[in-house]
Amino acid sequence: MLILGIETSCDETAAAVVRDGRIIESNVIASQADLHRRFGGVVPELASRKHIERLLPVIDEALEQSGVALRDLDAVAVTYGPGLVGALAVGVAAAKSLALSLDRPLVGVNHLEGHIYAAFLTDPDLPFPALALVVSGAHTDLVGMPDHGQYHVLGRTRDDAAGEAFDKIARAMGLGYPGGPEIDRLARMGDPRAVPLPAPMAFRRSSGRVDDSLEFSFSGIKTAALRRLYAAAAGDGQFKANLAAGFQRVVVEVLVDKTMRAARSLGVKTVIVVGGVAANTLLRAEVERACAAAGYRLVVPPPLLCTDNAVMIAAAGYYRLTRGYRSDLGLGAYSDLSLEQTPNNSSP
Amino acid sequence: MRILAIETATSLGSVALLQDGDPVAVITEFVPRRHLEWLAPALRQLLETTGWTVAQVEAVAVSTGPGSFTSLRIGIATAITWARAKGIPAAGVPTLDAVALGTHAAGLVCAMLDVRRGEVAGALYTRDGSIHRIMDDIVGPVAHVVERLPAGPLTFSGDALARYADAVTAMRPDAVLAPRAQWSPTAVSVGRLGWDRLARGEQDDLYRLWPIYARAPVDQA
Ligand SMILES: [Zn+2]
Repeated sequence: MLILGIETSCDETAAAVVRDGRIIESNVIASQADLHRRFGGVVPELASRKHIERLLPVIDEALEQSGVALRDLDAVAVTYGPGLVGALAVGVAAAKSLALSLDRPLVGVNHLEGHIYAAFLTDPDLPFPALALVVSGAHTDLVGMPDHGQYHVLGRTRDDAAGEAFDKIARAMGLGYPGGPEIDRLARMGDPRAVPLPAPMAFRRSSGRVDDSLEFSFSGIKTAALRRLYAAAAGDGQFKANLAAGFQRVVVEVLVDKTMRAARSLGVKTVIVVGGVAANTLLRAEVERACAAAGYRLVVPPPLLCTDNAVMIAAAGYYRLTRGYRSDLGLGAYSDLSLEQTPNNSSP
Repeated sequence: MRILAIETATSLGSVALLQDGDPVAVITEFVPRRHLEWLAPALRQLLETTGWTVAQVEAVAVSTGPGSFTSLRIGIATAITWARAKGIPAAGVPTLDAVALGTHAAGLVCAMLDVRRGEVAGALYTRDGSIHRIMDDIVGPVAHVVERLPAGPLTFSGDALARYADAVTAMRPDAVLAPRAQWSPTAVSVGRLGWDRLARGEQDDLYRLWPIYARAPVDQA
């Protein structure tokens, strides 16, 4: 089964052709990061404008690379949320137009579900139950997954997403956007214990209780790091490297700690780490160590499948279609879209 | 030539099928912020009512703005993807042209669309059987547009009148306002103007058929 995936939820215009949910025939991503860099974050209207300009070239490229003609496609899968509504609307409109004009099934995919399915491209037979950490510039979610298509959100961030905190620190340090890779690089030259930052379990210190929730909060550590940065002498390169290393260490510690806690509580067999921050080298190393010690199978897809792409959307679409789901032409686009109930338009 | 026409610039969504310049079926609905959910089912319904198949549609005409950015993109993304999928031509039609064509008046017509933030987009046309544009789009406060118009008899039309009719008549006591039913652009007008272009051998490059935006992206919070 050949599925065309389309993804336009944020600042990447992406299209891909995937065979049988696991064979990547093509993977095309037109990133807008350069355009949004000078604003220090994604400007929604600018993103939407770029999506419509790049839509057809990206779809064409995905078809060309795969050697697949439009008429050979068996279905069209598209991200319909969560994300920027105006950006999502471009991809959803295009997907519906293809489904209608080519007379093929349409399947709407939750963006987070897409991220999780990147793991099934790497490891199609991973054993359930699984726990997924979806960690990116927009999300920090812990999701229990008893089987295909079943999700229980155990925890998410109360404020900034982890990747967003990386972006903000990087911006304050005068580093590039997106900030994650920059902090990762700079942190390698720093001492993670040189700049004192509040422990990730700040909650325990202030209230005397153990923070046993699976919720995340990154605004406290972000504010503390910014305060350190503004108090330091300008132009102190080593200080910045130490701060980057310390900040990264604290964020990774809390991510790994809560992921392992959630995995234990569910008695999972597999831990999945996906989303843009899954490319962070310290996170990869630490979660690998923790899963090896606990005996969990760990799946962390390669960075190209962790950041936003359409391969993961086509893959998730495949599993949805094979379970009998499809969306009708009234499919909308949603800034908030729960993984637990897939509203409207998708019926088994 | 069988033409599929799409109009999504304003809250009044409209789709039509035309045989050359003649409408065969039309669906028009008030769909504020619901264009995405509405458009594809409306297109399918349109085909079902006429009995036309997808394969029989020979060209697509689409309204290009100015108008609501997101809804314009929904219409244009639908149009260019369809045209690409079926290998048929597409013709973009400026939304103000569609307003002017849908305004039944002799002589000069000023079409004005509300582009929000206290601004309108306007253009001037002579109207006999068809329309001829005699001024490029002007975007700005209504006074800024009206003061550029020539003296003499003039009919105003377009959805900007819903908010600015009083301002227009205050500046131009001689102004004739078109009936309200003619203020919104329709897919029939878009299809007719698209047909005019296609019949002249014109069509748009699908890879450059984008909305006409009334302002810069960053300005638009
Ligand atoms: Zn993402």
